Amino acid sequence: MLNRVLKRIAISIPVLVGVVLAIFIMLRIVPGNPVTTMMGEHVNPAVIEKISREMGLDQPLYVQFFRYIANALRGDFGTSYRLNRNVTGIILEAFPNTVKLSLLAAVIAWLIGIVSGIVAAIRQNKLLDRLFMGVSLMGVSMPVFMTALVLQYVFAFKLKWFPVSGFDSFKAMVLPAIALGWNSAGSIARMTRSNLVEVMQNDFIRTARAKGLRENGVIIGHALKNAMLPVVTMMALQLSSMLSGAVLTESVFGVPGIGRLAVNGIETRDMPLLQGTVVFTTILIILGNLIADLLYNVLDPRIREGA
Amino acid sequence: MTDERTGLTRGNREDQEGQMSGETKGFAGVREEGRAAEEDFAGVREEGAAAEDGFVDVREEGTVAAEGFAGVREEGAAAEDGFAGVREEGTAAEESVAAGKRIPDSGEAEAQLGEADTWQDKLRTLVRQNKLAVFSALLILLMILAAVFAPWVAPYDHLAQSLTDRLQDPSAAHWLGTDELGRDVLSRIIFGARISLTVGLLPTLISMAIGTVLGLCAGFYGGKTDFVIMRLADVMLAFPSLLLAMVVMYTMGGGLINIFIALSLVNWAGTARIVRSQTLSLKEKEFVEAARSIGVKKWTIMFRHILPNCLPSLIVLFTLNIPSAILSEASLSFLGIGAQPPSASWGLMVVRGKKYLFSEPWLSIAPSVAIMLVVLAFNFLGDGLRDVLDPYLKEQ
Amino acid sequence: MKKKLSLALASVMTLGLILSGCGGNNTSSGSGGGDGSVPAADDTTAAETTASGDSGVDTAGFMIDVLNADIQTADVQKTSKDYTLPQNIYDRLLEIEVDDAGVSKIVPSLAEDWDISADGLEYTFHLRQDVKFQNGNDFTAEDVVYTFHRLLTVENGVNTELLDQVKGAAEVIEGSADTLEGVEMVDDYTVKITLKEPFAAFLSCLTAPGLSIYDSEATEAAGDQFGMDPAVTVGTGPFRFAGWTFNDQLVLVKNEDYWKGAPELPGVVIKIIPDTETQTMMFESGELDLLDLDFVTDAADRFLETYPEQIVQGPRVGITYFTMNFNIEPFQDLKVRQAVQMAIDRQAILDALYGGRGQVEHGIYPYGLIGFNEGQTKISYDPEKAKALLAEAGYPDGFTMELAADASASDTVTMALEIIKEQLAAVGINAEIKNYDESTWLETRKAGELGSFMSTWTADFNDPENFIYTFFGNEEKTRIRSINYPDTAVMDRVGAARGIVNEDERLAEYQALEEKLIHEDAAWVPMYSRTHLWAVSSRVQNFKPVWSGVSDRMYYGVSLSE
Repeated sequence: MLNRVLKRIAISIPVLVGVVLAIFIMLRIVPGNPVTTMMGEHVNPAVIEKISREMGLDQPLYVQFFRYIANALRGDFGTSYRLNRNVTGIILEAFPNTVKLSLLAAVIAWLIGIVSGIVAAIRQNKLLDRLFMGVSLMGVSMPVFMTALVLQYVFAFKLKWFPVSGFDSFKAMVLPAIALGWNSAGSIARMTRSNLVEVMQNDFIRTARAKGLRENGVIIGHALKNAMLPVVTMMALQLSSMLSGAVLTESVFGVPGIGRLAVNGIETRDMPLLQGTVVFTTILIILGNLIADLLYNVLDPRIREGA
Repeated sequence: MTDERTGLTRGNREDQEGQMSGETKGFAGVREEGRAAEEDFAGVREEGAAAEDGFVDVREEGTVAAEGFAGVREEGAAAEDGFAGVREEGTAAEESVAAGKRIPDSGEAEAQLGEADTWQDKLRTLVRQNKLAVFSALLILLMILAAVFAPWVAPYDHLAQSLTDRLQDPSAAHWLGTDELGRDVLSRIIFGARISLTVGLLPTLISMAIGTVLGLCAGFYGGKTDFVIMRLADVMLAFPSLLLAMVVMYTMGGGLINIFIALSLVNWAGTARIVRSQTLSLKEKEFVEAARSIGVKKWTIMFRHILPNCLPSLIVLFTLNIPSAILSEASLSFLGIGAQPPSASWGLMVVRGKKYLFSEPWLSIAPSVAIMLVVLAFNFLGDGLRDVLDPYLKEQ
Repeated sequence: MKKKLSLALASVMTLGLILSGCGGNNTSSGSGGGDGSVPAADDTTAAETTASGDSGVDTAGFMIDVLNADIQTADVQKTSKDYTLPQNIYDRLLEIEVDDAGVSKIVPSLAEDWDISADGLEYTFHLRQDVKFQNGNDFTAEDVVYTFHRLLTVENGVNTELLDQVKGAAEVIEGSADTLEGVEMVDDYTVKITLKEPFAAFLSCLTAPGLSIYDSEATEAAGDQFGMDPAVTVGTGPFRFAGWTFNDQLVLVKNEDYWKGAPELPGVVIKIIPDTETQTMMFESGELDLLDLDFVTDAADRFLETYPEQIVQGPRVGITYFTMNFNIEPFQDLKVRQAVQMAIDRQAILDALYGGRGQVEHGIYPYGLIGFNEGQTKISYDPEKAKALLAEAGYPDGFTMELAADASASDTVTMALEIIKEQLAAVGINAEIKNYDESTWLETRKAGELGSFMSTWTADFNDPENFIYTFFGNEEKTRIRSINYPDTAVMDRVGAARGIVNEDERLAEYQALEEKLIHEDAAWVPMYSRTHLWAVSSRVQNFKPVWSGVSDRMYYGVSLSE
């Protein structure tokens, strides 16, 4: 077991390095000196040169890269151009909000997704199937920011059940979490449905049915248990799309999370901030994948370790 | 996993015997034609796929062509026979699962197994069973037609401003009202379909082409090639796609062309993984072994023998990837790094219309609905196609 | 072999994590190694993270305001746009006051009195003796000397231009002098400022937010954290910077010991909400007390109908202008530039995008600015004449040009460009909108390479100098904002006008220059100036829009009813 875990971790390392390298290269094909970009109009060229030197931008690219990796390993993602603050500090300040938002959204996504998936599978190709799948797919089919806006309009602005913005109370978190979670519910519902449908064809289910178990009992007792395993692996995939969606949800609801930082990075062309945010987020996703894989191993010892 | 599924099919071997020889001929024919004309097999296949029952056409074409090359065919006959056989078996297996899984009550399932094995039959199954998918396909077709013939379909010039008629309510003259510069919203949506559908189709096509080639190479060559490509794919898959697209847009700046590039670069890895895993299992099959043993070139095997067998998965994947590309464009527009005015993508229309949400809500709701419809349509179509075409993708 | 490699890599990673201080976090075999890296980063940077998140201040009863984007810093020497905090936490030597008739005048602030020498070169300021910084330090002449010196030398400083008329400023900027010759401390409460040449707008200039006065001791001690860490950012102003959670909110708390008397508001919370529809809904749901309607033009129309008594307006002393690149064919041709002036229907744009709130401008100095000339030559919208001029110039079929758009600008600016595109098309000019991201736009503009652009300049202080010198002061300035306007003789006149001591003569010269530049040379197309609208909640009393700066606001004097 320990071996397997270590091996799995070891596989993640090149991915991690690759991710940092990819982002690093992509951001550095930007033409022009990033310092000029960051300093705006009224700056002396000598100052630009001095700052470039301080930031190590006069060094060859590979030196810069290894320096970045070395610093990143120590938890230092550099200094934001615009804010003149340590990027790691900014990210960690925002991180808890994104975590809260994503966790709550995940719970909601699972609720909507699994319930719809089960109902759809039981009533396969019937009206209820279409209805429930339709509802859960609707979240995926609207642009997230529009879903967010509509929820905000209806439930906060018109009905006044929730505050329009903010993230300082549980009540304030509900709408952003629904906006984000609904967006992920569709794929969970779809997967639950197709797994259930498939599992229900298996002999043991037929046996169970033949033995006269009631339909609901069959589904919940046997089928669901078997169908949920692959859904667990989806957690990791969900994490990725959820963090993408968070960028938009956070902007609409004014949640001070890391998605906002990425937007700040783009808007103000703050390369270290954008770089730090993307690298940090990606590390989270890799860790999420890792954990999901290991969890899968734990849940299903039969599973054969893939190549 | 595939082994289990093969097990389910033993029963239908008989039903397929009859078609086998025809199938063989057809396949061989396509091969010959491809070789002679130096034409990319994948290309032929893809075209075929676009026309709904295209595969059958390709086969027929192939047969005609094949006759001209009868001599050459002799050589590879053994291999092809093997190939066709395995292929039939595989298809039947897939089909039985697909068909079986869709019908909880067993009686109907058995009835289907026998017939649902050619492309025509699969589509027939789809048409009969999944009205929603068919309706979706029609809707998509309608949108594509509207986009192509936009100048004739749209009631007004989508760029013509009329500042005195701005922000009009829907009326007989302007079915969806006018926007903040007095442009006809319906016309803008029809023209916007050009951009939004292109954003959906083109980058998806490019990224899948990249993913397919890389996946084939990884699966077929294995070893270092596999390792490198798959780690690269791991890296790409690790990124949240929107953030990655944002990074690309940061580097290259906003605009449609850059969106194409960003989305093409971002989404290839998923395809590569699926194609690789299919290649891995396919390359162990007898027909590949046979082809190899008679010295068929590797690229030939990859593109003429393995790729066609991945196509069902690819078609399904293609259908399901399009919506995410369309939504990504909308998201990028929301962040101000997507399509740029005055071009009217649906995403941009939503973002611009959002400003008037309280006074003229249809400005953002109309394009939102357009996005929602097309995204749902592709999803339903994809689901339907998956059910009849492809068992591999269920796990993805 | 591979296994060993993997193992080695794994150990390296683990080692890295342990080194970074998270060894203790490995709880389970499954996720421990991974989880560890997050707290790891936390440990190493906690010390470096200085901006305090929650101020711990109880914000109940505070007024709630909103900004679209968070500020970069509260150090006004390092920003040319985030003026909201500096306006409220610092004071300046002098302030601008606008009376109800909209007439502005310069009033004493930290300087209670001043003398100007006959040659207009020496300014002696007598400072108030009862002023304390928020940390308890006394405000003295030393702080003024320190602040002005810092403005010229601070790293990443952006407002050096405000003092470039002071004797010795250039030397300090270049580094050839350590002390600023032109700013002398006469005694603890007297400062003498010497200019290198007469500069009539100097008093106005001292009211600019960029010349806010800092505490020499605290600012020096704070180093680069000044403006970043609320705890060390002090001024003499009516509010104290009490908290800053990035992307979430800024907190100001009233300065009980403010020398003009404590403000009535207990404090202000400034929310950071990027989405304008969210802002609108927040306001209408009572989550906001103050809403700058600049970015929510749709709401402006609706609010004016729904809550007319809750809309506060004031002039925005700023001019929107459109300028063409003199280095690009065919803009060298006067007739072409005149044709463009006549082809753009400015009133239609103002009506469509801003509900007509504002006025079409015909010169450089907008309505509300000293020097605004009611009687100047008017530019009329005349597409027929524009076509004729184009034909005379040899372009009967028009030509193709670029409209450079800054992607970060508000949507209404982009819409204005879309309208201009159509209006130019009507006279046969094919204008293509090209989008640049903000920094590329700025850089390309700096290089004088944009095809044409539209922008707005808002007054830093109330003097025409702040406008004409910014646009036509010298070759560098004209390259940037009046894309390569070539007449250096005019630029010399603009420079010389700064030194005219007689106020009437000076304004006459400024108006003559305006006539020459806009009407004879058609150097750019003056577009319009707008009215600044604010929505205030029903409990807000006495909110007055401050007319200068980009969108700053003054909270002093405002109160909330129960």
